Amino acid sequence: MKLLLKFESRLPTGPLIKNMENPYSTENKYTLDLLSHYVYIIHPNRVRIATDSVEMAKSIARRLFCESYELLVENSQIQEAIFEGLGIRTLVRRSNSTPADAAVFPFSFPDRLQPEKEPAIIVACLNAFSYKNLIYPGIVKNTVYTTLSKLTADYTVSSISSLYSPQFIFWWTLAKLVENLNSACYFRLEDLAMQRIIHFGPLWRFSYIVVFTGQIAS
Amino acid sequence: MLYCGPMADWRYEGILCGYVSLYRSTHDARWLDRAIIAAEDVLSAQLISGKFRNSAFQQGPMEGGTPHEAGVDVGLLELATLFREIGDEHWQKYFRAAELNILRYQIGELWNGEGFKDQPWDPIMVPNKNATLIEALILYEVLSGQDMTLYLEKAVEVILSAQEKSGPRAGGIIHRGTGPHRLAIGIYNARSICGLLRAYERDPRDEILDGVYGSIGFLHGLITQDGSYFGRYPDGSLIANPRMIAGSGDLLRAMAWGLKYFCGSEEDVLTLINVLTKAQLPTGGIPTGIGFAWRGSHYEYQSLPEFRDILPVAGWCDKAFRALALFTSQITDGEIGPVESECLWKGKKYIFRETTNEISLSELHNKKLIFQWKKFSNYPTVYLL
Repeated sequence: MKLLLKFESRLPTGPLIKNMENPYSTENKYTLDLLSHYVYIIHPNRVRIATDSVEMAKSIARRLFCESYELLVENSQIQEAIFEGLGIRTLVRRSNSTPADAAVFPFSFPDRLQPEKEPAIIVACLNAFSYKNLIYPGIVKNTVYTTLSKLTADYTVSSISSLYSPQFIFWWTLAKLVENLNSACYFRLEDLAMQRIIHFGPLWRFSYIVVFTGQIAS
Repeated sequence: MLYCGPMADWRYEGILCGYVSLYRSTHDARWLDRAIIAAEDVLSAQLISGKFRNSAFQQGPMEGGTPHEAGVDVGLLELATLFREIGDEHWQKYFRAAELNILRYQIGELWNGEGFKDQPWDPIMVPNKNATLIEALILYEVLSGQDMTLYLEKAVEVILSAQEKSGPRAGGIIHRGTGPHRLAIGIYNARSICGLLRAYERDPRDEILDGVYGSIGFLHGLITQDGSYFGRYPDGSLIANPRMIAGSGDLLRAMAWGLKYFCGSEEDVLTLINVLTKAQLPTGGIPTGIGFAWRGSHYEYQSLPEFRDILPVAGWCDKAFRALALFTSQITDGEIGPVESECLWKGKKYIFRETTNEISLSELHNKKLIFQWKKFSNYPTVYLL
């Protein structure tokens, strides 16, 4: 447990933003990269950035700006922040307007925002069945199954990948064990862990962050 | 390698400076034309804040990268200097862009009175990042007429105070961003040397040249025929992997510059030129290194290159380009061709391919793709790394 706590304390935090909304942390930046990659594969024209967090929305806008998507955001505060900070124009989503082709949910589904019949969704969620609840019992409320179950009525899940799987935690824990004893071993083990930060196999069930894509059931 | 899109990071330092060097030595207008295209890329990426869009590759796509934006400023100011010399008024456009970044971001947000911080929220003062700023500020000082002494003296002090004066790493400059590991890293020592040399040429103080001499001595022990060792641990033991190849361009630049002041050896300069030219791939790219599979190990990796070794990356190749351009007085057009090579990833063999259209990694036997990036696109089409 102490080792896992040590692992937590070494995660870079970036600007002083509440932890799960910090898009600059190692935890989140790879997640946002993965989300954006999945958006790219779908080849949408219009993308909804489904978050009420200004910093999260900005971070996704940074990654999607280079594609010629029409970006829809949840409110004018986010729209203003993205335009003033990044010079990127977005539209504010109206509830009765045509759905976007794809919607990205960075930790905002199901508790804060819901799909609005977008044909494709890309969701990042936390999973209570992970190392995180070992360290901080109860800190993650939903399991990935809870989250998935809130989706299946309208959507079919088409792919699942994850971050911070047990494989990653295993190598990272070993790295932290030796960090103060042997730098060479530490960097080797850390590298082995980081090569496994994204997992495409069945261990998503026990990973801290799960990313799944869904398509609307016709 | 998930985000493959454009970034206004330190690659533009090498790209712009390389083109400027080539134009200076050949007076061939095509290098100026290419420099302008690159500079316009950067200008279109500049935000109202003065920062550059997606300049931070460590943090992922984000503005405010260090020393990336200072590197961009160096490139812009070298180009502005050239334009002013040849009487072209466009120098002001590139100068103003660099000035905006320097005044609003570098001095406005990173300066803390004792040096330049790593990020507005991160107080660590990293020597090589201060070194890049020294280069930018001196170029800015010359063009603007503004006195940058206050910032330069402190930035020099950040570098010299991080240098080990004795022991198994004597002369090595510690990268303060490596925390308790206190690594002395070759490529970052090289960048620190260049900052010190620029400062010395402006203000020839003995302590600065002593610092250069010491660091060049430290670098000498890292140079091999296959690349430069990554650096040394506090006990002096080698960080033998990865051996940097493309990034050794910064060592070449530092060693060549140091020769002007009788620091270092011609032999090391020739070795580094050979490292870069020998390693160049038929596509024109230069591999990043050798030994990523044994990252951090004391023992030289000698097996099949890993994917990260063989992959040529813009932000390292620019260092090779910039340095080799210093030795070039004539360019002949060459032919480029594809690359196909076995490599390792997570201990398994794959085929690495690069063509003019794409970079891919596929399984050896069934050709299943685990990575595919079509050039000029912003994301890979296949990512299963």
